[in-house]
Amino acid sequence: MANFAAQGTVGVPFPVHIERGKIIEFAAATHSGNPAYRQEQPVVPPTFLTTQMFWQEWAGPGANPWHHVELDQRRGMHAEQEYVFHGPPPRAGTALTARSRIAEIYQKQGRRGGTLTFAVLVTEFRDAAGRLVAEARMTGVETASPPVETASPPVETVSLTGETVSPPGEAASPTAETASSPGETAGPSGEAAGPSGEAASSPGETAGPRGETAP
Amino acid sequence: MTPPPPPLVVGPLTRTDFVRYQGASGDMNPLHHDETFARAAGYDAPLAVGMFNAGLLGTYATDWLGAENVRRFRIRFAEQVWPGDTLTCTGAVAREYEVDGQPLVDVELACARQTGGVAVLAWATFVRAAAA
Repeated sequence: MANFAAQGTVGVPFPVHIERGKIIEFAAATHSGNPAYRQEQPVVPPTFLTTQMFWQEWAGPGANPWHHVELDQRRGMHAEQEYVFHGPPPRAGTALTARSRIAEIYQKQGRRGGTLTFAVLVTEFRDAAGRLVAEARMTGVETASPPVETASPPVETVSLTGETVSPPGEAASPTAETASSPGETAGPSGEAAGPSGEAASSPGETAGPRGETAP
Repeated sequence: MTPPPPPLVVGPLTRTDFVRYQGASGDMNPLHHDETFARAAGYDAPLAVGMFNAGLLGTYATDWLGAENVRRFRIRFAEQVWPGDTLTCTGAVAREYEVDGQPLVDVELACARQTGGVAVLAWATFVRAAAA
């Protein structure tokens, strides 16, 4: 059960240095051959700021307020992730200061019954002048009840969050409760999953576990 | 407007693909690389971390619209991805418009498995390059 009092909790600021080698490594890992990422001062790829995890971890537990939300990790998953850039993405050589906060915790009724609890972690990245350069918005969801044999496996285990808030190795407990049958259950229909503008309008609306996205 | 390029096809994916991404990203959840751990959790194999699949959409989109032009990249996770899967990234223009004289384009992106199931969806906004 989520701790609703955690909404508004702000972590301590932590430094994030944008590094060329890391950008090249990340581009290679995401199968990009784009020469833009191999120049002297490349910009970061669209999802690169996920590497804030390194910096946040080094900064200590105070940097990441996510654990205050207390979502049940066995029922938790990474529903959505968004990056916003206020100008070109930051370049290698840039020193940023990041700060994370619990922006929202809210509940919605699942379409198949039960209550879904969503929590949103927003991380702001500012340059030396204090200018807002980029924002990351992570939406995690806790499903209504622990997965059972008949339930679909989690869409995405809360690796992003779990990894940053738990001691190593405890990101996902190796119990049968964490998941049931892998990947073989029916996915969302193409229709439901289609990237329509309508679906794009509201994260909470369809961000639930697989099955919640189906009509 | 530059039309979308041919689909980006990646795969069949290997555990090495997953591990390389995990190392690059810093997300070392063992569910995504440790066979023993994944099986104990009830899976047949380690599954790809969703951000890896999302990263492939980033690759497709920046090849199309330019690495420096991205302004928003929003991802929704829909279906799990496994070793042996082949992923196909596609995109389409949703809207072209201007804000304060700056030409922008919204695109919709999808990363689908060989089954046709969509693993990741993304909605992105890019600045339209002058002569892309």
